[in-house]
Parts: sequence; structure tokens; C-alpha cells
Amino acid sequence: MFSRRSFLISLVMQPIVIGSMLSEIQRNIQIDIQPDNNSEFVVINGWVFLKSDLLKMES
Amino acid sequence: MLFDLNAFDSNASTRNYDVCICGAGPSGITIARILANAGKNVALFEGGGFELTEASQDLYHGKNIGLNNWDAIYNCRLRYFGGTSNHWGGRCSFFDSVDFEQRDYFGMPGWPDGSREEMFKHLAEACAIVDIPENIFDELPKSHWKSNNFRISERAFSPPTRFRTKYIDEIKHSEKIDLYLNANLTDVRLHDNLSSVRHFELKNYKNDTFQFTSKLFVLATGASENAKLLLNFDKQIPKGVGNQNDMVGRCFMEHFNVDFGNFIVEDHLMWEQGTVQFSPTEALIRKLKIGNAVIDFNPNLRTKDYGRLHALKQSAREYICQTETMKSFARKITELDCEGDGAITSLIEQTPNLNSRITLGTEKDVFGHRRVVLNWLPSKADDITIRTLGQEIAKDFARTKLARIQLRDFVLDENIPIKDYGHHCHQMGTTRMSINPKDGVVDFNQRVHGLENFYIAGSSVFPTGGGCNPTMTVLMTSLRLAKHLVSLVN
Ligand SMILES: Cc1cc2nc3c(=O)[nH]c(=O)nc-3n(C[C@H](O)[C@H](O)[C@H](O)COP(=O)(O)OP(=O)(O)OC[C@H]3O[C@@H](n4cnc5c(N)ncnc54)[C@H](O)[C@@H]3O)c2cc1C
Repeated sequence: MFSRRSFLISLVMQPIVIGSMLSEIQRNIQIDIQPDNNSEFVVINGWVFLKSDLLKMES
Repeated sequence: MLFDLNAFDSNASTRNYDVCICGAGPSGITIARILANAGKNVALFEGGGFELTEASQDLYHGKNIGLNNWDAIYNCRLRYFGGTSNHWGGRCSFFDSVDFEQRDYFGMPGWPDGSREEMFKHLAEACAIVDIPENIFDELPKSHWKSNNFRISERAFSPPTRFRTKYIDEIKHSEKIDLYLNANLTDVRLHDNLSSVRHFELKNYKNDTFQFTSKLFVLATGASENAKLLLNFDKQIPKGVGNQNDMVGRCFMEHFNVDFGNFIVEDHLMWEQGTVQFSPTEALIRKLKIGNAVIDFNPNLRTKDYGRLHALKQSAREYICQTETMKSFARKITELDCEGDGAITSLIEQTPNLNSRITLGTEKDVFGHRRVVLNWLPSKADDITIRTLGQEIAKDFARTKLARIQLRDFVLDENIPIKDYGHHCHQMGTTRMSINPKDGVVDFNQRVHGLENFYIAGSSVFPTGGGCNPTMTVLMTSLRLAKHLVSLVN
């Protein structure tokens, strides 16, 4: 369960967290994208995505 | 009637029975009860007492030289009345149709034709034994999810039934069953023509020897011990009883418990009730030539937020949980569990493999038996099953928006070895059922090939292990065997 203290901390952290999340996604897409272009799926850092979902996310 | 072999005088004359059964676990107890209810005289021998003792459990010590970092040969089994049911988990499920088919890619014959029909005749009785109604399989979750590749696994939970507690009084007071405690089977003596059993030889812990005769004999000491004992019965047949084709101990099988990775919940309806288990559809198993399995998804919904600030709290949690780099740091401060922290575990069928086997070592137990050496080995086919299942379920969940899965590297890359196969304490194989004696140890009726009156019960007779917990199948095969024995005694 979330305590009031930890909630405040998480609010303070939000900008840092969002920033690092975005940079991580970008880095992973560059590094881990699978070479099989015919596949319906893409694997990023072990996460298995439907390619069409990923395109939606990027736009 | 109850007897303690430790209190017996070795010169005491012993009774003659219709059937002698060795091993009072779920299998032996079930067979004894059915025979007794049909009016047959039964001797049931149990190596332990009513409580665990060091002297008895020590006989289960052996050596693991294959997979496994946990001493499963010792820790998985319990050697006293009620057997391993004294600590089983009670999860009950059944073999699927595909498990009974001949799967060429397994490289060994499977269950003989007709096994499924024969076995399922005893389903209702088996359910009653472990105290589950026949129709209590979990309600399916309310999700709109539909997949051609995976189905929700059917299972039920026994309380779990402890055979010791449930059947102790019935057996103690039975007029038809003589239960002998501290009665260790140490040899099976054959008639001179070596085609049938003459008597069981048993020892108490004072090393006194006793002989018991009957028309029919049953070995029901669990998969590893059945093999150990047969291999040690080498006075008349040097390779061991039933081992004329060098099959005793071979094809030892377990269920792998591989940790596939993490996941993030998407279709919340599906995960409302917590853990959901999926199995590949029978069509997928046939198409991809893989083993059967149950894959457990534990969504770890402990992170549910409540109260007026619920929405805010949830969004904060999501931000923290969605980043790899910040996640561990943030979680340390907030003591927060992220959805998807729950593991994806599994119960995966192992292909029968001649090299995965039980042999005997040089170290001996107090009765002079050589101890077990277990070389539990996966095959290439098993690695294919593991990787294929992981990849297919991740793709299926991405397609159906059930959850997003993060697979471990060894699932995606076959060059990375699978380090931890896990296990379930489901020991199977070792005296497998086969039509051709060259492929196994017992025939369709669980009679040892080449011996007229000697039968084996329990999961050691499984030619394949399916993707489910074994005890329901142990019970159904034991019920079938018991009824066959009744007809033979008649
Ligand atoms: C931790 C754990 C959890 C499990 N959970 C589940 C589950 O959730 N669902 C499921 O389906 N299965 C489960 N199992 C498996 C289940 O316990 C076994 O399938 C079941 O106990 C097999 O019954 P059995 O009678 O064949 O063998 P056992 O229960 O092993 O009984 C063998 C008996 O033979 C006796 N014996 C051994 N050697 C001799 C000898 N030389 N002379 C005389 N007597 C002897 C032993 O003392 C014992 O009483 C679990 C097992 C473990 C270890």
C-alpha cells in the first residue's frame, strides 16, 4: 500500500522518472529491435510487442 | 489389523494373502482399500511408521548427478504411512487427449491405445478419494480474451487430503487388510523358473527377515524407489527383476518449472482473481511438436490502490514502475511492488529420455541395498518445448492484449543456455508402461513383463508425464489396477 510519505516522494520524482523512461525507450528501440522485418512482433529488451501497437505508441 | 514388524519374532509364522502390496502411499492405500472392499485378503507393507523417523527417511538418501541443485531424491519424498501425500500440495488436474497420442517427435512410444478411456472410467472415484467434487474446476475468468493457441488450464484443489489422516482408522480396523509398519521390502524371490514371484522378503529395523506369500504382488513405493528396489533385487537375476531389457530406471521424468520472465497486466478483467494458468491448445502442441504444459501467471495485484487519491497514486505508481533504471531505486524508497513483478512460472512436460535415469551407486543403506544415483537430464526436445512455449505465449498475449510479457534472454536466444530448469517433485517414468517389452518394464495392466503375478503401481509406470500434476493419474491407474487384481483373484 502507498503511504503518504512515499506518495509525496513519487510526485517529486515524476519528472526525473518520465525523463529516464523516455530515454530508455529510445535507447532500447535502437539497440534491441529484431532484424526480422517480416515478423508481426518486435522484441525490445525482452518485451514482446505487436509491431502495429508499437507504431501506434510512437505516433 | 495393525502389526508392527519391529515387535515381531522372526520365527513367527506369517499369514498367506490374496495380494501383498508394498508401499502405503496414495497408490498402495488405494489398491488395498479396493481389494478389501471386494472381500480380498490384503497385506499392506509400509517401511515407515505412522510418524516420520530418521531411520526410515535415511533410506531415501541418494546422489543427484544430473540437473537439480536441490536434493530432490531425498527432499521430495516422505517415507512413512501416507507417503509423500503427507506434504503434497493438493493441486489436481488430468491428462489431455493429446497426452495419450503417439507423438513421434518424442522418440519413444507413449501410452498404449485405449489408456485414456480405461483411465477416465475411474475419474469420479479418484476425485472422491482426494475430496474434490468432479465438477469444481475453477470458473473461467470473465475476460473477452479468445485465443486459438492457449486455453485456461482446468484444475481443482484437494484440501489437500492427507492419506495418513483420512485412511488410518479404516485400515487399522479393516478385517481384510493387515497393515504392517516398519516392514521394509528387501527382496522379491522368484520361483525357480523365474516366471513368477514366490514371496516378498521384508526386514524390520532390527534386521530380522520375514517372508510373505500371496497370489499376486504389487510394488507401490514411488517412482524412484520402485526402480531402486527392482535393480537391487539381483540375487536370482543379476541385472535386477524386470530389467531384462535394461529399461528399469530409464526415462526418469519430472516437470520443469522454468521462470519465463515478467509481465504487465493489460486486460484487467482476466486478472481480477489473481493467478491464471494457461496451457497450449492441443492443436498448437501437435502443430509445433512440443510437450504439454501449464504456465502460471501471477499478476501480483498487491499494488492495488484505494481511497480518494486512488487515481493520482496509480499514475505515480505507473510512472515509477515503467522505468527499468528508476524502478529499483524508486521501489526501495517507496517499498512498492510493481504489477508484473509476479513471476511467470511453469509446469512443463519432459520428453521421455533413455539417458535421464536412475542407477545404483556403490554406497549401501542399512539393508545392504545400493543407494540411488539420479541423473535427471533434459533433452534438446525439452529445450525446444521450453523456448517455443515462452515465445508463443508472449506473442499470443501481445496479439490478444491480455498482458505484455518480458521474456528472459534464454527464451529468446537459443545460444544462451537454460540454467535453471526447476522441478516440481513429480517423479515419473523408471518402470514405464509399454506394449513391447523392449520399450518398458510393465504391460498395459501394469504387470511386469515376463512375470506372471508381479505388478507395479504409481507414477513410475507413466510412459509420458503430460502437462499436469500426477496424483490424479496415479489414483486413476491404481484404481484400474486394483479392479484388475480383484478380477484375477476371483
Ligand atoms: C512437495 C510436494 C508437493 C506435491 N504436490 C502435488 C500436487 O499439488 N498435486 C499432485 O498431483 N501431486 C503432487 N505431488 C506428488 C504426490 O505427492 C505423489 O504423486 C504421490 O504421493 C505418489 O503416491 P505414491 O503412493 O505412488 O508414492 P509415495 O507417496 O511416495 O508413497 C510410497 C510409499 O512407499 C513406502 N516405501 C518406500 N520404500 C519402501 C520399502 N522398501 N518397503 C516398504 N515401504 C516402502 C513409503 O514409506 C511411502 O509410504 C507433490 C509431491 C511433493 C514432494
